[in-house]
Amino acid sequence: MVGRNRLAELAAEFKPRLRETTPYIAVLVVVLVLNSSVRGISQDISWAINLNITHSIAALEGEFVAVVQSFETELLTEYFSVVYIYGYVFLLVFPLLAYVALSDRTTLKRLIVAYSLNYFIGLALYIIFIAYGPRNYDPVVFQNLLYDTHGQYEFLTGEVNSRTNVFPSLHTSLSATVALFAYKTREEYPYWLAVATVLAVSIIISTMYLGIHWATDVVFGLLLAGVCVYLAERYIGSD
Amino acid sequence: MTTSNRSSWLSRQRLLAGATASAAAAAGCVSRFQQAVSGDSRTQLTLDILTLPAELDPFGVRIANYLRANLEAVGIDTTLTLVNARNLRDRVLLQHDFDIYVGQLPYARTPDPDALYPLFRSTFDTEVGWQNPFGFTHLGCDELLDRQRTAVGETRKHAVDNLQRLLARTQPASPLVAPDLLTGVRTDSFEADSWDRNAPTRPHNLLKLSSTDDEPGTLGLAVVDDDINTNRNPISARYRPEESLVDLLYDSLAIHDGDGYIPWAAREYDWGDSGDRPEVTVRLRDGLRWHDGRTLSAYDVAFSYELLRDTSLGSAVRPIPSERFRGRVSLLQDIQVENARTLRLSFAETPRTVAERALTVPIVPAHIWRSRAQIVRSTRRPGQTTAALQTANPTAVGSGPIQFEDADDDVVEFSLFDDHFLWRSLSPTPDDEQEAAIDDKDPNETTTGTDHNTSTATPDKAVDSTEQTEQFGAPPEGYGEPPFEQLVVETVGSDNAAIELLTAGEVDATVARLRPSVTDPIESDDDLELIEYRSNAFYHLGFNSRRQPLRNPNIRRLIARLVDKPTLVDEYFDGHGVPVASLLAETEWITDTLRWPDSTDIDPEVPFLGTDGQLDVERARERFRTIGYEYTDTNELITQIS
Repeated sequence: MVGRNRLAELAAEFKPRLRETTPYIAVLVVVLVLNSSVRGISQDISWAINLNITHSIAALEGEFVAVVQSFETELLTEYFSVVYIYGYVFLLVFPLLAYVALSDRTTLKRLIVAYSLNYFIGLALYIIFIAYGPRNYDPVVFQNLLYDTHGQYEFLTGEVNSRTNVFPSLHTSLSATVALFAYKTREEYPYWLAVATVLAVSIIISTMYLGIHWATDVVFGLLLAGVCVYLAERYIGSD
Repeated sequence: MTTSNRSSWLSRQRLLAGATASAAAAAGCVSRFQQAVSGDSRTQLTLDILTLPAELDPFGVRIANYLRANLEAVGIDTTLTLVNARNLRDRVLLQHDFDIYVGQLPYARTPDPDALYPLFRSTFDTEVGWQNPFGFTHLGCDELLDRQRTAVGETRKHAVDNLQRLLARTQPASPLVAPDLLTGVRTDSFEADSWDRNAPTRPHNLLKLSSTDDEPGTLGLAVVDDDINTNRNPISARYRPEESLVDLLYDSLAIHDGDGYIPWAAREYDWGDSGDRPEVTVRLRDGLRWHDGRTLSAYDVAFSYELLRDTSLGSAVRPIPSERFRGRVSLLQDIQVENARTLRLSFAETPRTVAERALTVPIVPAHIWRSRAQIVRSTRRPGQTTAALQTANPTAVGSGPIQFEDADDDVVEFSLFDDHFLWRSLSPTPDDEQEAAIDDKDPNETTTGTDHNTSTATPDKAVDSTEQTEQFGAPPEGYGEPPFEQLVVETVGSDNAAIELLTAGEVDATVARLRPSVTDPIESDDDLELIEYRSNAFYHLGFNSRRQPLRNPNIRRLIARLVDKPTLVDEYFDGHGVPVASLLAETEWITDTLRWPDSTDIDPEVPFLGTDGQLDVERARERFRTIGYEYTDTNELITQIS
């Protein structure tokens, strides 16, 4: 997908390219560290603010997620579980490597900035709003397909602390962010656009199919992706 | 809930709902606006149901959704609010900020009828913790609560019968289901027979475990979201119905062992003969120590009772009592410390069995808790409070069989306390002999409450060791051998994860509400066993009687009648439980008229308004009309604002 020539070029220029993007990577790392280190405190702040919007979301969208789940089959559950856990990691990591290989660093910088913005704004919204997902709200109507089938995944997703952090869906916003970038780089990486689109759509559906997110979370996740990509484009100019 | 004294949070909720473009909530705002314009002062009744999310309590939230659907069917605008265990405690037990909650009663075991005393006595209305969170004030109820406290024999039975009937009639809390709880245990690390069948993970039962090999190893427990990671305070309010492992950090004079009371930190206690007012002389075991190595004396015991009565130790204008054990210590009238090992407790008029409950409260070290009597302000608790109630008590220095080692977000580690009397008496050290010597000393007799500065006596004479070994007193039957060296508690997010850790061999037992639907991995593994036991921690609806319309017993009764208890058992508990109609169901005290009739499966006091779980909506609405409520053209239940 990346191409042999680009790899050869990458080998020669790897260090200078990396140096140029170091500040951006540093920002992303800071945001990620911030994200994981304030978890305990952010929960306390959330409950102090106490904007619990779970019921409002449920009242707004009704049983949409249950409709998505009505297509349940064993195979689909396997597929969506794997996509949600592993496909997601691949989708986020691959473009970082692929864009390092591009001679123009702008896309890489923009992607890193867009990631950082997603995490940062997402964290802020998680602190402001308390929202439990469908599987926690009404286990009779909504199934808990991911963890009821694969209890071990709970340790992979570290979901203990994030039970109240479902609004918006970061799985959705980051997947959509990658897909939007894939569209912008379709000339350099035509196959990646196809792969990224299929994966992103699958992940977005999986968040609802598995009973983790509301459709509302997904809609706001898509909006967040749009905002982050727009801001990254706007403020990170080309070289 | 339409009157102006309705707390502000729901209206804030509505504003927020508008902001997040919640169409349903926004529509409510509009219709209110129209009513204001048209001069119609009547608005739809609104109620909020508070409960834990599915992962923390898979059963409560199912009941809550069932109730919500039926409340909406009869025209009440109902919201469902999910909170975590700490916030449920804050909202229900500390701030009384709720309409209806769905949860479990704080009965860790078969309750004595006196357990109802703090729950429903009107004088506890202003207190926090499991002290009348319902705001229920009924003078007739108070009278019966007092009578069952003072009477014995048939008279007490009669009072308890009447009390149950009154509580069933007025429904301050509506008991629904006595659940059969499921626990998974490993039988390859600890002997299958050593797991208690009635309550395998009850803290003191863990002390009876025996290892499959001779070396006591590590006991691992997977708990779902217990706050033992962050809070190890034994006297502040908790929501959790089970006894916490914190109970193993602190000893009490006696413990209830399922069948009856057995002396624990007390070597023995003797009930004096003083008519209706029981008096008990307690002799502590010799050589009791705190985890920090200091000596535990009768002064610490007296101090603990004083602290429970008033955590400010007299410095507040009005006592600031502890948030737990209030019912138990409220009968205690006087404590005399006779010497460093002996004290005498005097009670108000009550049967001995009720007084005996006061011996089970935790004993805390005076040298740590005395400074916590200081008065502080809190955002969580109303009014004045003390550092003793506010502290998270991180180091948790007690005298119990386990001592705290370390904690992070996911894991809490405890180790066996080497000096604990259960196994210390097996091999007395020179230290013990010295300690034992102070027993016969008779320092100046002190009464608690007047002198908080008494310090523990120091040993000053050596005594023959063989004589002293006898004085230790044998450990209670069934206890004594160290069951494990370490206790590791892993906090996980749901029953799935707990089962995952169990099957992987990472822990030896689960402390979670396991759904019957996810226990297959336990049953199909030879090294694992699924234990089922009936819990007295009934699922129930708690009504906030401080608020309209729930102040009205007719409304509470009608809401209770919207729930079909057998349907809850069948559909949400998969048959693992029984419907209950009395708060003392599943005890020997259950009154005949409130026994669940298996023949009809219909609640004897608040029969379901429907059949087979299906609400008869028209019949239910008719009922609301007969108690003075009205319906709009769109079938919204309304009431006149006075």
